[in-house]
Amino acid sequence: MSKAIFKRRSLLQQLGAAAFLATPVFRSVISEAQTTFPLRLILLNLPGGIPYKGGTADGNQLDTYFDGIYKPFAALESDAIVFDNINNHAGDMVATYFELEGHGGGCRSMFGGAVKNQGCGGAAACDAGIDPNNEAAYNAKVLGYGTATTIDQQLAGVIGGRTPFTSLHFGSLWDKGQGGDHAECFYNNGQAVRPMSDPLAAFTRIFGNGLPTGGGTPAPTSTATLPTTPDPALMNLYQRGKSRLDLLYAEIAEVKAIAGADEQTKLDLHLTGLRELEGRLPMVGAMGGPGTMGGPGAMPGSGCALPAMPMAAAPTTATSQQGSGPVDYVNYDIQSYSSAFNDIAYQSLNCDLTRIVALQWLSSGDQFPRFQFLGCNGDHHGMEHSANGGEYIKAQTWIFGQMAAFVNKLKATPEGNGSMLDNSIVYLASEMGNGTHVLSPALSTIFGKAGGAFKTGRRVDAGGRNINDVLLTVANTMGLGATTMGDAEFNGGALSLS
Amino acid sequence: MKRLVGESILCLALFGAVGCSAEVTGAPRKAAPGSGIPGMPGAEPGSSGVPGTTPAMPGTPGSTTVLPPAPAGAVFGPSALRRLTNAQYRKSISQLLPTPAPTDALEQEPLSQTTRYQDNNSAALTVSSILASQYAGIADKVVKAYQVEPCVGASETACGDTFIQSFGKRAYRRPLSASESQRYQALFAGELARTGYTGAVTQIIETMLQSPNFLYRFELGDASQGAKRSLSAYEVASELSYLLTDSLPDAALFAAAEGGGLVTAAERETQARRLLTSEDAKPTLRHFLEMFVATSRLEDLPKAADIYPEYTPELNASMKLETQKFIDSVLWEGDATFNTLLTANYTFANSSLAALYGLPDPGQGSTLVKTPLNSDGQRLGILTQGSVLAQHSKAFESFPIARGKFVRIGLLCQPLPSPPKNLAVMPVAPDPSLTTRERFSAHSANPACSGCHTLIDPVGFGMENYDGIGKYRTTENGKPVDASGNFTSTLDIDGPFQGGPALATKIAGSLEGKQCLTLQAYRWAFGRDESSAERGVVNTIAQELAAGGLNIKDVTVAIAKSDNFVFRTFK
Repeated sequence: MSKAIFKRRSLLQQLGAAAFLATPVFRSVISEAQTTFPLRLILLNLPGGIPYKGGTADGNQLDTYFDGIYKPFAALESDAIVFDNINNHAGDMVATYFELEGHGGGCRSMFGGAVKNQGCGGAAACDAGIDPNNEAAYNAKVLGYGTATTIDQQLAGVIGGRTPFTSLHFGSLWDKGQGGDHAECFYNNGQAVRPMSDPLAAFTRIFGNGLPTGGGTPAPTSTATLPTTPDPALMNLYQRGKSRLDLLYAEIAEVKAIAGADEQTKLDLHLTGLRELEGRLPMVGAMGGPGTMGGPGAMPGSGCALPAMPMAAAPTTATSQQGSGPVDYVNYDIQSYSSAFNDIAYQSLNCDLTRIVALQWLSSGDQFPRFQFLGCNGDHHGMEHSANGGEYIKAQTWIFGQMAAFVNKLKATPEGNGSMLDNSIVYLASEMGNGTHVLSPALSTIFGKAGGAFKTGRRVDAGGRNINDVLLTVANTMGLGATTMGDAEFNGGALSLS
Repeated sequence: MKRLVGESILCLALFGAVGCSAEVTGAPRKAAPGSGIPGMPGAEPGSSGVPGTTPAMPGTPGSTTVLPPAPAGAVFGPSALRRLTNAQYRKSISQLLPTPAPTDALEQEPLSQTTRYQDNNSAALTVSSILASQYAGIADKVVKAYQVEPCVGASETACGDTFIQSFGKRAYRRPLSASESQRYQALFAGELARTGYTGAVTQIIETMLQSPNFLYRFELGDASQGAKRSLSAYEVASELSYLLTDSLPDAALFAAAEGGGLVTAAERETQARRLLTSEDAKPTLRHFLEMFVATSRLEDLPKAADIYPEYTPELNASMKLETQKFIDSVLWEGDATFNTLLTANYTFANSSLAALYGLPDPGQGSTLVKTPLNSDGQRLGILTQGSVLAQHSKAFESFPIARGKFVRIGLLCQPLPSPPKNLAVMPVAPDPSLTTRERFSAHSANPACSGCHTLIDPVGFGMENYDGIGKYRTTENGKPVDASGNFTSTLDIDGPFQGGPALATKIAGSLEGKQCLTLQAYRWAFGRDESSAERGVVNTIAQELAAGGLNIKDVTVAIAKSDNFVFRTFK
């Protein structure tokens, strides 16, 4: 076990978990020792479609996209693989009777692969024989399109244990739309995995180990007096946490054995949360467990540092930013949220606290004008219905800019002979196809070389193949070892991207 | 320590139990309602904590009380695993421990897809990784602030066991099972050896506050009865307490559970009516009605500052408080009926709200006072309050579609078809030469849309006298506002109406409206969507209470009395 690990742990004890991350001496010690780099998956989720004119009119020219709607990604053209003419098969199956399923179903499919409806197998069949006065029965029958476990959670189950957080999901204002549809996109065994929506709470959870007591970054601390042997008090802390969690595991197992079938997946999700807590116990590395903050499996990058602590949680009153400029129009300022989450997500990856991240902006049902600073007075959901209207394009382009800023950070972070981006798969998708409020054809894009597995700087005409194939390719490159994503009948096999 | 002698005597007098002398509770301590831990003020009878008297498995009936088996042939709703809502979690902790309710951030509850606004739907309430982390952080914080008093007069192991049994019973809302006791005893022993008595006690608390048995309410019932089960007496006690007070059963409910006092409908009614007289019932029922009119998250509602400059944070807060005070007034000072909720001719206003409503300034500055509404027919009841009208509007304009949908889905419980698949709908463009109604009328004339919008729009149009923050208007863009509305496809209120008060009066007088409030209460009570078979129960309750204007408190009592409250279908 390296000396540095013990030093890092001691700092953890003294200053809280976040402190060591700001201490450059250990970053350099560890980064010098690194010879391989973690492979990461980043999912970028755009609500409401990618406004472009699909098709093959421009052949294989990437410029079609990067001189157009993908202009914010211009610096990343050589790092991209653009998949055009993707079929989001959920589009054939989205039920028509009750509202709002299209966004949620489409999104779940784009990130998990299409499956047949459990109950009826298609919109027409679903609508047939449904009691229109019983929405609950209807939902029970037709909801659930999209695989039960999306790609992030499937991979979290395989590689997530190597880091303190199996996966992290961030959503700028995703839960503030009041549209009644948050377009939950990510699922674990049928249970929605919802993004963190409060930047300060996200910061606290990830970098504060639940113990922040004030604002600002902890000051660097001298390493001169750090002990080089395990601290008994810290060992006790670990054992206290471990024994507590062991009891909770036993309780969940006992309850699960007598709970109804429908409830067991809830308890599994709870168990996942507890196991993540175990992964963040301070002495896990020393105890030979999976890598955590300073543990043997951890691979923090050379720029690993605390992101800026968000100024505050969400505003508490409806127009609290009144008078502060163009964001007067709405109280929740998407620019601030996006910037904070970009930083937090970036350092979560760079510090190897997780290798799976999902970033989302708004939800597709958002009913408030978030983009007045762009001159857009409409709400996002209204824009989505506007069939490539000017405001819609402006808003989506702005979100692309936020995505590009994030991906550019990865590209600008050296890692071996390349960059973090070279050792990542950034998968960009939207639930609403090409921006006409329909699900197919869809455009999805990968940035990054996946550690050398992907050849980038090209366009792939998917020719109507289902999104399941792209997801299968990504998942297996990440190490899932799956044969299908979603229902087998919607799989045509993995794509060759090398 | 300082109270040890007296409390030991009390403990022995009540229970005669070994280990009662353990003084493990913190100081300062408050006599939290329903606190029942031996050694704590307010200990309830029967909480002896003596091992060996506990049920074999969690969720099975404790003590001697077993409800009768489910009636043959009857169909009941499904058993659910009900995670505490954030409010319930916070309140339960404050009643378990001498600590204020935690205010730390908790992942917000998803809202029910069916009701659109209820936050206690058990299908959506899970313990995510985020929440597990937040629960852990709060538990850590709580025990760090907890002052453990030393164990005197008994071995530390005995003190620990007493604490495990007594605190566990409160936290789990039932006695611990034998296996649970053993696990906690082992946990205590391990921590005792490592860090000492204080660390061991706080370890118990910290663990129990993260236990599934604390975080979820179970409806497991008596497994020996098979698929159709009666709930255990302790489960019924929790159903009642969380339904009406959003928190743990109090001492009287515990006693009723142990003494066979929750078996009959009359016994449950007695308990329900008792709980309804408690202060804790007020925020609980208020929250239900805020969800009913969808104002429970009004603080998240932005408006366009350039269009509605008067919509300040203060006005937003006033709107929310107005509705809360109005609900309280109807429920606790008035006749508590659905009819009054919708048609009362008063509200609570301060200077800014009075200005918005065109009422005389009550003269109390920002303080809201009960204020009669004008007799000009502009407003009546909760539906014409700024909170409700602003909530069902866009940020920059009134939105008749949202208002119509709210009435159909929220107040009449009518599900609506979704837009046709693959339909690209152009948003209604602003036009300063037209009224909102004129713009939306043209929009909805599209044959592909009209199927739904003929149901929605004529209802929403009837509220066009109110702008996007609920200010009354008779003209818009220089043209007269047409607030004539029309109901079709209803049970008993088809026909035209004119304006918000007329709409409210129609719904207040309708059986369909009363059935809907009862159904929403039923969904809230059980934290799930209803099954088809349960609609009959709901409608029966509504029918029986309709003549009196549908007393909302009586609705909750009727639900508690129903067989559905105590029986479940287990899958």
